[in-house]
Amino acid sequence: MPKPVDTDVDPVVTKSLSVPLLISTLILTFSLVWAIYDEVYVMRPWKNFQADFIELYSSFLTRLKPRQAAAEAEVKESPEYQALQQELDGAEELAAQRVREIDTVVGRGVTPRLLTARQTFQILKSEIDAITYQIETETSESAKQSLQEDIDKIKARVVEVNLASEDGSGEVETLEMKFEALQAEFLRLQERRVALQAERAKVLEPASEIRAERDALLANRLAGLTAQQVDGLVNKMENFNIEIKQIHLNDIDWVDRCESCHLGTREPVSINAEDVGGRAEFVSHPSLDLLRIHDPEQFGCSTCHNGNGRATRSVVKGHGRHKFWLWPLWHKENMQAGCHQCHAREVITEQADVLNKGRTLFLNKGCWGCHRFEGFDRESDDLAAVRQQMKIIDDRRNANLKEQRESIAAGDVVEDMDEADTLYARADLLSLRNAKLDAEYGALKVEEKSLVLETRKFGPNLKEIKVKLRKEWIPVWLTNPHEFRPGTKMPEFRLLEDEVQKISAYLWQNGIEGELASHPPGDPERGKELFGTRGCLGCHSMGEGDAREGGNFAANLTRVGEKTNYDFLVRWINNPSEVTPDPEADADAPHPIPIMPSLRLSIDEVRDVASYLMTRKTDATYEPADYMDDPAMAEEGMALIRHYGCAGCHEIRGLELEGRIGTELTLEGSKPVERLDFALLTHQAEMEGWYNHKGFFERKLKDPAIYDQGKMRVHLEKLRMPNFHLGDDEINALTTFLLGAVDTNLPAHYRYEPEDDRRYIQEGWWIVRRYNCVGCHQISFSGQSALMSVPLYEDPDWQEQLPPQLYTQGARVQPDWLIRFLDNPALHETDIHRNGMRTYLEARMPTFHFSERQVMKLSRFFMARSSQSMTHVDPGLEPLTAQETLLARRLFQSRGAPCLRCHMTGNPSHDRDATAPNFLTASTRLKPDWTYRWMLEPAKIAPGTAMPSELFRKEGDRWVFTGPLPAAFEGYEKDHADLLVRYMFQLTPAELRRLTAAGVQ
Amino acid sequence: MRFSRSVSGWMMAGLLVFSLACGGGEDAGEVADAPEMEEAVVTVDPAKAATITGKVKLEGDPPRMPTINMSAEPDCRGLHEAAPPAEVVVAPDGMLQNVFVWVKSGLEGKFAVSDTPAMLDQKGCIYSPHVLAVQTGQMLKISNSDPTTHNVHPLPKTNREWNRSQPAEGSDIEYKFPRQEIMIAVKCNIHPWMRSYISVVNHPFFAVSGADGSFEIKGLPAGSYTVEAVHERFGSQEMSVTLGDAESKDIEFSYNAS
Repeated sequence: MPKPVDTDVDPVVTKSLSVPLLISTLILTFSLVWAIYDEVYVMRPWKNFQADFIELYSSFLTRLKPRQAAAEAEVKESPEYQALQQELDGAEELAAQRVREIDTVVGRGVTPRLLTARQTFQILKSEIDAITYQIETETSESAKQSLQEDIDKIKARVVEVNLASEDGSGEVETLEMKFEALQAEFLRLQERRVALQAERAKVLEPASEIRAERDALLANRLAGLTAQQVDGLVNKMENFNIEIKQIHLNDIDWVDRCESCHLGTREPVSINAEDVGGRAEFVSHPSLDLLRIHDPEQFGCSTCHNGNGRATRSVVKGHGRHKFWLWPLWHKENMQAGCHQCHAREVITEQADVLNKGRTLFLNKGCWGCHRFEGFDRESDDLAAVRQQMKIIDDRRNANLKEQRESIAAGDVVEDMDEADTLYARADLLSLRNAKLDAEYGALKVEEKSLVLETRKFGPNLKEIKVKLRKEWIPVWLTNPHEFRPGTKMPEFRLLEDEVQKISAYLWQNGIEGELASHPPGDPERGKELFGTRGCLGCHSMGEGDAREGGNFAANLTRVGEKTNYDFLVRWINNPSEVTPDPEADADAPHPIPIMPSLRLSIDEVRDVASYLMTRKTDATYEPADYMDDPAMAEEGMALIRHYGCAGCHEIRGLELEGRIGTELTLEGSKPVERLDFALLTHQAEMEGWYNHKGFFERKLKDPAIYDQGKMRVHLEKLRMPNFHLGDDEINALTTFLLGAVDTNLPAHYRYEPEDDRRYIQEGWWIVRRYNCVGCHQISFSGQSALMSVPLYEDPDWQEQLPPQLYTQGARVQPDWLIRFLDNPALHETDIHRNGMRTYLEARMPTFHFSERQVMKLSRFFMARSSQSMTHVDPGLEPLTAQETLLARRLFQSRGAPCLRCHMTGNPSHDRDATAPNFLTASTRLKPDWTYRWMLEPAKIAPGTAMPSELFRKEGDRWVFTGPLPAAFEGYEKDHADLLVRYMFQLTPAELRRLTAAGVQ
Repeated sequence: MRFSRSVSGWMMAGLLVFSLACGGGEDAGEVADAPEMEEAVVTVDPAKAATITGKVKLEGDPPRMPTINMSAEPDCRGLHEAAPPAEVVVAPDGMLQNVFVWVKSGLEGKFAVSDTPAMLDQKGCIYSPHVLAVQTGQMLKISNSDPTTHNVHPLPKTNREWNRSQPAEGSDIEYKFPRQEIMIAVKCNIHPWMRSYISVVNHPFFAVSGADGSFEIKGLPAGSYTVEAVHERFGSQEMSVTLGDAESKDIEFSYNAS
């Protein structure tokens, strides 16, 4: 029996839903509150950042203000400021009287009268203008006539004009005037008012000039902001709007909201983390200089820094440091990677030291021997381009010739003379075109010739191996170059013993047989001194560990005596361009320019240095290596050399045409991370958080075999990249460079690819780096030359022996002189065993055997760096009067001006101890404006120079000599520095003799 | 305040209730508003001040001292009876002059800077004194008593280098070195033989050995110090000295000439 349905139990009546309803209401309410909270705070973490920033920064500003106020007060109390303030007060007072007068005349007299005159004048003028318009639009002559008469009537009408009196009394006079007279009066008043206002400005000019000077003094003396400016910032914080701060770059539709949290970035005060409670995200940008060049409003933030500029929901998202964002924020140590995408043409980018170091390592460790990287293979790329262009020109010439022949042939047969003339003219035109193309071709031919000489492989030429090297040394070296010579550029290949033997055998048997001239021994003691002082240490180093001295551009020569022979060293030092004739090669084939220059040593000096170098060895013994003569070994060696890519860096007979074995790295930073072969370490990398480009590069550079780990591979299948034994900072620099090597998605106008003179700076740096000019010279401010770190040059007596600084070389010398000097630093055809300019320097400016193209590029580089043109126009210095010649001569001869004590005079015994060039060279070498600036403030141009400052002091508008002046100067009103410059530039040998003969020097 | 975003919504709601109940914790770092304290100047009670006295000796045969050839500057040559010696000055009894002695370490705090300017004169184309020491921030006045133009060119490593011309009868060059640095070489490019060494020290406890090789450092607080002697040619030597209140200790540095 079914249970009866209890119809009385109505759940609606009997059961309460209040509990579920309450629960759902609560849930709904919580959801709502949470949703609102999430919307307002959780999804907008930048709000908290902004609130924190306002508080921290305001508090910092409040602390800053009294400091700035005190500093400001200190400047304001300084005598210079006070003097200017007094001068300003004086000038203002002086002007005040006249200014008041003008203000009265203009305000009370001229302006009221002008206003009253205008009332009547404008009524009449508008009447006339209306009729004039009618005349212009009227077609009938008679109507025009009658309208003109109307105008004349108006002009003839005498009207009553109420004019305020001009004397400012406030009275009004009533005059009867015709239009013309009224117009004249009106214009007169207008002119008068303008004239008076101009006068007012002129009267106030001295005062406003002084005020500008005073304010500039305050701005220059005061480090940071004035108290008032700080107040402005405090105000700004008080009125701060909490909102997304966004930069939008219209042209590429790029959005960066970084400044929603990084609020201090562009503040005009330098903010350090400790200033804002240790919150590093609030610091100001470390280089405001960089921001000036790359205004964030035009360049954005994440264009350079990477990261996700749009994301505002969390730090991780904003920085893009997660696997779904391809461009994570650069790590601090790799920040300069961001420069390369737009500065890809450069080897040196200003203010990017780490990146520059990376590029320079890539260039000078020879990475480009195996890995192509656009821009690093400059010479052969340029050569290919030049040859391509020559080919195009040649094709066009041939086409022109063909058409020319056809035109003439056609002209010869047509009957119509006019038609024939046209055809002949066409032929002539084509001939002229070809003449132009010939010239273009000729220029390219010259360039080609230079480029052929410049194109060389990175490492030494191994065809010379038999004349150069000790046989048994070769396998030792190949086994581990870094054991024989720590820090060498030759990397360590992981070769098996039999591989070493086979490679050695091939190289040895493929060396050119040659006879070296035999030389008598030199004096090693003298050689040691020459090695230390002639400048060898600018590139080479000597000694190991703490005893190491010199540059790291070229080989460390501590054990050079073990690997080579004396006669070869003599030949090499004497003339690095000399090569052993190769019977198999074309006798006319050009030899590439060696990187090692000639120091133009005399043959005795060469023998001394070579003798010294031969003493540089240990008593290590070398096993005999007879297998190196076994042809069977050599045959196997060839395949190994090919496998390891030796010919990427070295000239090896039989393997001249070998290509590169490494992967191209030009866009390595953009390669998808999946294509970087982490091999069996992939999982570990992901776990440990280095499954990214940075992690891959750093580990690969540290240990190139790392991704072989755990793999079962036969020896020849293992990774081939050798170990360069790089230091941590070198690895970081190279990683930075490779990270930055990306396929940029920024449009062309973001990239720094100038086509004006700045291009010469970009190109010049490549040569400067390739030939290591910076080993001896300081060219850019950052970084010392290698020579400067050699202990000898730290001795006060040796400081003047440092090669000259070249910061402003382009402003200093004339381009023609520079070209001559770079081509032949002896500046003489036969007397070459000396410096051409500074004969007193022990260090010798070497002859680099530059190609014509390189000399021009270097000269342009120096000129462009100083904003100078390649054409030097003689500035036409004012000739000296007889009296001026006498004055300058007297000054030079006086005790007060000991110029010739340091400057060379041509007297050998004096010049030995000189520290500055001969004045006779000034007119052909220097630029007068530079010379003038140099004399006034040499330390500004070359910090640390021997040339003293304060030789002249300012007296009014001119510079006068500081020391005691010869009596003859009484009454001479011109600039003394200018006088001396003109004297120097007009100096003759006879005049110089006269100066030195006086015996004062 | 930073928020973990991987927490589920309900957890968040719970947290929200909690955080609302707690009134929302503000954890913005409290900024230490401590005023920048001027480091107090250490004063030493004269009654407790300790003293180091001593001598510097040169063992062995003193090096043959070259004389300066001043023929290039007759104005200066005339000011000397005989050509003056360069560099090492040794008394007949083997005492070494011109050795800079200072308390290299062991001192704490800041010491008052002397108001008296240190003087360096150029006379007869020689710097006088040859070795000089000043405090950081102490005025150095350089005068030219010669009838010829000099240039004063210090070659510091941590301070800033400068090179000023100073004509005969020119006004004194005044300069304060801002950083501690020992034995800054000073030269005149016009008269290459001229050389002086200036030491700049953060405190007033230094001396230069006199003609008899003796030196004295006064006014020291009690403590353990490393005292260093530096000679331009023979280099530096160090010695540990412990001084009690008002104690006076005699020490001796000895260089070997060979």
